[in-house]
Amino acid sequence: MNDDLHLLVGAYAVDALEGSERAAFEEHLASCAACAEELADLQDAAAALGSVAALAPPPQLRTRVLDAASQARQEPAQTASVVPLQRRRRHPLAWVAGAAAAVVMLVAGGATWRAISVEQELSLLRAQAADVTAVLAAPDARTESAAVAGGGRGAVVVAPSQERGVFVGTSLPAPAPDRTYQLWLLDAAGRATSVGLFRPTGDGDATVALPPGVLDAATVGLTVEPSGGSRAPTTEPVLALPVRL
Amino acid sequence: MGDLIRRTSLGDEEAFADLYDAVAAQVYGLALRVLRDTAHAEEVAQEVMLEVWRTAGRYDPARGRPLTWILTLTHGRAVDRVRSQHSAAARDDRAARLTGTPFDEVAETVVARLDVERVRGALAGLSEPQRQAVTLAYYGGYTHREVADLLDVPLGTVKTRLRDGLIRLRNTLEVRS
Repeated sequence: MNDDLHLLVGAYAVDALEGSERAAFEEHLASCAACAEELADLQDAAAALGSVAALAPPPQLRTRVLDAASQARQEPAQTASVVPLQRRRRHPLAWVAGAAAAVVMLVAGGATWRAISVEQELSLLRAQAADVTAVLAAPDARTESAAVAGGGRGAVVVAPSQERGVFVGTSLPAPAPDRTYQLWLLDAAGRATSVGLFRPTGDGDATVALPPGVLDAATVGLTVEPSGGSRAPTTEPVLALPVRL
Repeated sequence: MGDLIRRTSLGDEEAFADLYDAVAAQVYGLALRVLRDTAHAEEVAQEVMLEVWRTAGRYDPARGRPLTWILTLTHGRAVDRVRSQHSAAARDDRAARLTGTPFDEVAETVVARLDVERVRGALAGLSEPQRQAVTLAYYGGYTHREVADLLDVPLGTVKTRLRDGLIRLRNTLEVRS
């Protein structure tokens, strides 16, 4: 460790370095684990100083930021995303009607994923995978499936005993770069509540946990929406599956 | 908040709106603290929130808490701006105003009084020289050379005071526990 450079960690944490000194410290930082660890601690302390300066911004800033965000492209994540339960499966899930076979395949897929997943994804995804597995394995699970307009198939599995459900998509075409799939719960009057957005894996697979509200829904709908999603469906559903309990 | 960032990284605009509501006061307040100008502070807050939107997928929970990530972005941008825009005279003015307590405006904020008291207590636990150096650098946006000039002490002394002061703050706050 270079002691002179190491001593700069405090100044760096409060952005008090400039120019060549800043560059020299950053170069050192990249190869010094001790500095990186200390920096994380000192940045936490600095952020505590920052957080007590809080002051509500003018309300119009919120509108400006949210509008600008909906127009701004996002940089790709370092690790891809929605539901990696299926992403790392070795074999594409051959579509099978009926929950029983799907349970076996998904549980097996979950096991593979667990074995090779990266450390920091684990806790979050374990919970999600456990939910999905519990729904699919529940004795009272019921499945509805249908072809998706545009390609692929979608199924909804609902398990009243687990108070939730799962949407499973297979062979879904990737949406255009400025579009996303969005799932909805619709009540008997046709009012839609968003469940969330997803992008299928490269194989066209998707698994999305459905909230307890699915038990009261009449229909699960799938639409293709502009990136960022919509407050209410803006296109014809590519899939509408009745929820029968 | 980590979950809001994860959902934001997937393009979920509702999650981003919730994230905005959770951090906007801290982002804007810190920018204003450094810049002392509401128009500049608003611009910085907007830049920071859009950077969060764009780069949420790059946020690595292993490298720090979500609020630390966002406020570190905020401080960096605010400081860049203060250095590029303020004349020497404006900086002197800034130094004069900074000699008072850094908490003059805090009573107005949305932050829980308890957190303010905790941080105030932690700052009070620093030696006077440490507190001056940390306050001038962090809230004032001064470089360590400028802090050395303002306090009329050697540069090496300022480096040590900044580091030791932050370590003591961190230990008092136990912010990572």
